[in-house]
Amino acid sequence: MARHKKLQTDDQEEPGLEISSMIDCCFLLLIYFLVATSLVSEKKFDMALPSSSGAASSSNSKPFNIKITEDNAVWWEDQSGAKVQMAPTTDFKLRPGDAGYYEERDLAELVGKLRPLNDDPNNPKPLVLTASPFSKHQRVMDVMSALTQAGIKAVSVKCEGVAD
Amino acid sequence: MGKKKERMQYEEDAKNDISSMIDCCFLLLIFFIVNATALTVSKDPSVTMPQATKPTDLEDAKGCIVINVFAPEKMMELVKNGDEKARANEQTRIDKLVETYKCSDVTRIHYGVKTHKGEQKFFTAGTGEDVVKKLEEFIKDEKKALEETKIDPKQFRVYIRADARADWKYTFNVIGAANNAGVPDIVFGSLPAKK
Repeated sequence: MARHKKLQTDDQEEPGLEISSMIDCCFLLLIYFLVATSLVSEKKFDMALPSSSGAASSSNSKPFNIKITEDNAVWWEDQSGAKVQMAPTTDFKLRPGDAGYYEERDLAELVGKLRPLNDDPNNPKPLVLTASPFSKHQRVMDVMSALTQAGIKAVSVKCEGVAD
Repeated sequence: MGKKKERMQYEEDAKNDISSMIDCCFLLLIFFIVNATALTVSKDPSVTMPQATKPTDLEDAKGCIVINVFAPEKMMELVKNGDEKARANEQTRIDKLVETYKCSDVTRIHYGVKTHKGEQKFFTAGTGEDVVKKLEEFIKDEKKALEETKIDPKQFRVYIRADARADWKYTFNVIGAANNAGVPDIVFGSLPAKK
């Protein structure tokens, strides 16, 4: 009797061993992929850039202009040539996490100006974005963001002082 | 004898728990594997991504030619004049750049790319450097490599990962080069703005 029982318990314990090493392996893989995946994935803009000169010259009507100056101020210029400032100057000292960082990204006033341009999607009004070579990339992205919010799909991009 | 029976029962209970845990583990594993392959473009951590309020998801990284645009001048300035936290932060980034691109002068690294052969390359913008031409050649090479794969040519695009603090002229060079190289589709990388 006693011998038989001993044999049985030995048989039952064996399969358990293999599983435990598989779990180890699984956990390692799991941790690797946890680390390798960043949950905040990068985003992008859907914006057609009709070369650097493009749409503006092909159309007969005068284009609307958005200008970004060297000190990162944003100016709006309509077809009559009247200028309005849309965003203040900034030197981008703010870093992500600082208070007030988000507010600066949202150019609501500019979005309001841009919306009427998109009234007729089949016949978009020409729009030119001219930025100073020393303006910061973040400011250009702010304007791009505003364009996306206004539903504008294409813009001509220029850099002041650089030939097309 | 009675004690032995009790012990055996305990052991069987423990085995049941493990099998369901394995199931759970596998599910998590599969979830993260799928997530990890969603964006396979190389992310250079030395770039401070710009933030945007309404960006869209980059669904497919296939056909992306990634060009990193750095802001080395701004980094150097922060190392000199920034507060302690910023200084340490930028110094590690500079070290990382120097290590990756094997160039001791960080102010020469304006653009960083990884070729289809896996080689890390950098380009310098400045007087006497025809950087647009070099970028154009790089994009053309990558395009040629992509054409040999099964990826649809409509998906070929230049993915600009520019530093938020980089001057616009550097980004504009990339746009010009992409146009010249015949890849007019451009994607700007950004992070969603925190509310």
